[in-house]
Amino acid sequence: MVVKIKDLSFKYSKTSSQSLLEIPSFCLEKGETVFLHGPSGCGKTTFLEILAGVIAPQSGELFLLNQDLTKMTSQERDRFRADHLGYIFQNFNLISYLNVIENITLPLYLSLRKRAKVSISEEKDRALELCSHLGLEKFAFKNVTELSVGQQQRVAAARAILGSPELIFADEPTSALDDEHRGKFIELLFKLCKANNSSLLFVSHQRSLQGLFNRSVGFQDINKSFLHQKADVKA
Amino acid sequence: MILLKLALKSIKNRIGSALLTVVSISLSVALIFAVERIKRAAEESFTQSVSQVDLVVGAKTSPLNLLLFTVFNMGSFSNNVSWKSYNEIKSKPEVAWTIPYSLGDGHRGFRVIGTDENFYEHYRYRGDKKVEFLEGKPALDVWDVVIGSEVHKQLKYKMGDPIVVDHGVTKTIGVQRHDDKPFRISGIMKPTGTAIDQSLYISLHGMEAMHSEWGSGGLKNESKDTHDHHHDHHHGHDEHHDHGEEEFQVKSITSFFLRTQNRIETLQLQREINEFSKEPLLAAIPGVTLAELWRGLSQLGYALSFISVMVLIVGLAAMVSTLLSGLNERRREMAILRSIGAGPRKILLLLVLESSVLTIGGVFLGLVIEIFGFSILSHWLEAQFDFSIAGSMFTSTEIFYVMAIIICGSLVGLIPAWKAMRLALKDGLALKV
Repeated sequence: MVVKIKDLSFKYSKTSSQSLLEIPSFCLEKGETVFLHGPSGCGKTTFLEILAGVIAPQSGELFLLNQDLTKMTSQERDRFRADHLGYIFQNFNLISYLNVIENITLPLYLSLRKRAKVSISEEKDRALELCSHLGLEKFAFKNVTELSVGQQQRVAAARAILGSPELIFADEPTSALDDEHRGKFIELLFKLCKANNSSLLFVSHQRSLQGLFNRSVGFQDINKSFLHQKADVKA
Repeated sequence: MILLKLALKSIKNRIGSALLTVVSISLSVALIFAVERIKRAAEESFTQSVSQVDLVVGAKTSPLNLLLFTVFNMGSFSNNVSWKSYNEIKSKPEVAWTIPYSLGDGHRGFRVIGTDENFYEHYRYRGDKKVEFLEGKPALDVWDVVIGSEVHKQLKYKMGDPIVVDHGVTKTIGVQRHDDKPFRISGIMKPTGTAIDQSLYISLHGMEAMHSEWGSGGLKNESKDTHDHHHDHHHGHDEHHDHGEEEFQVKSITSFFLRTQNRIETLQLQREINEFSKEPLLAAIPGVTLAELWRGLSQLGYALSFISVMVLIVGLAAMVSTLLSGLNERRREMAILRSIGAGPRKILLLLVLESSVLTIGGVFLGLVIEIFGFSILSHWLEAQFDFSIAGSMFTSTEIFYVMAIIICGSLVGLIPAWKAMRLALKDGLALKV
């Protein structure tokens, strides 16, 4: 199991009486692709931030790759994230002052583990290889601001997968894409995950996509906090 | 290393505002260094107005008064050193050479100094610089006069021009004029950046000849030898060019420079001269006295330094405000860096690196501006003001300033860096307003 959660709870402040997240259990198997859906504002992004170790839950168990994230310091979680995770945002995934290749290879400089898999001498070839898989070979040395949104998302996917992390988290990565690009993007993402034997947690509110995944989970079904109902109204 | 690369690329991405920051820092750095250098050059040209001289000797007064009058032609001085005493000290075995100075007369506001060949041979300023001639030769004959560069420039004299010496240094024509004793220009000196430029040099014999009561037996008047500029001057003498220098016996001089055979003997000799029994004399060590005087004058230098440090603070404040105002647009960038595993400390370091790079850039651009500025201006400064800014470009002071500025720049860089780190922690992976 790559993700295992038990009785996880999170609130924005210690004094607040109501939790944003109350998750009795959730798990993700190795190589599995999971579609997590729910209305906007219901805490999906916060859930991903907890999984990525950016914020810490107040209570409960959180195991990633059999390591207890709740027992780690924030620095250790940063290291863990750099070593084992790939993360894709909804949009604006890229650092504007770096070119495509530099964006893709950036994580290698922040993780010794990923660096061990891709050395400096081969990083360019590996990045170019990924570019050609994703149909970006013409753009490899272009400034990322010259790319379309769809192209930018593909670069983000390439960055998330380079160094073969065990886990890929994607936070609504397709919501800025049109139908045609959306399907293609997911197909590519699956291909990359499969090739690297990575698990994928794909968060989206676009239910039409769920059939493509191994499993589909409604966020309301795993989150027992009733705060999200208010969030529904807000959304 | 990757953070440095990111910092550099990020700066390159915002090259416009980054350049403004660098330029504003560089201008203050250039100002600081220019002030430092001018201060040092001024100190050098001041304290090095006379060098390689171990003692300045004159009649009893304060060392400062003696130095000011002899070297800078400032203040007044009435007592002289008798020729006999001068020769007695001169012939001591510890003495290597002496340069006699006889002062008190002027020519159209410039002072006229009576001296001998030792002046041309031994006088040094700013270390090892010797008096040099633009044209002509030293004033060794009775009616020879050598003019300083400033005299040459202002009065536009040529070689061989006749010069009439006034009694007392006055702008207008002197009260008493030695009209009947015209000197002829035998040499024009190159600029030195010292008081020499504003002086005319004649021989001691010429000085005596001008004041002599030749023809009325005044030469024998030994009792008045400490006031040789105050005796009466008779006019309407006969043609004087027929008389050789031996006829104008030197009775006294105002002061003299002295060089010992061995530097260690300086203090001993100074004591001996100060306790000279035949007449009250004072020996001053010029380096010590000039340095003391300079310390008194250097308040202005502190004020200049203070102003340039203030300008630097403004430059650094501009950098901080530029970085701070850019942070909001960079929150996305921070979230991306966080998502790929950069911790808050790395974010902090990235921003501090950016400040350091901007500061270092500013310091080096500032140095370039200063060096180029001075290499362009130095000729003009020397030509216009005889102000030499030669000398070492880098001293420990400069290196201290470079280090201090870079450290200050990095430290104030902590302000935007800290803010960025707080924002990054608050934002996590999603921007929160």
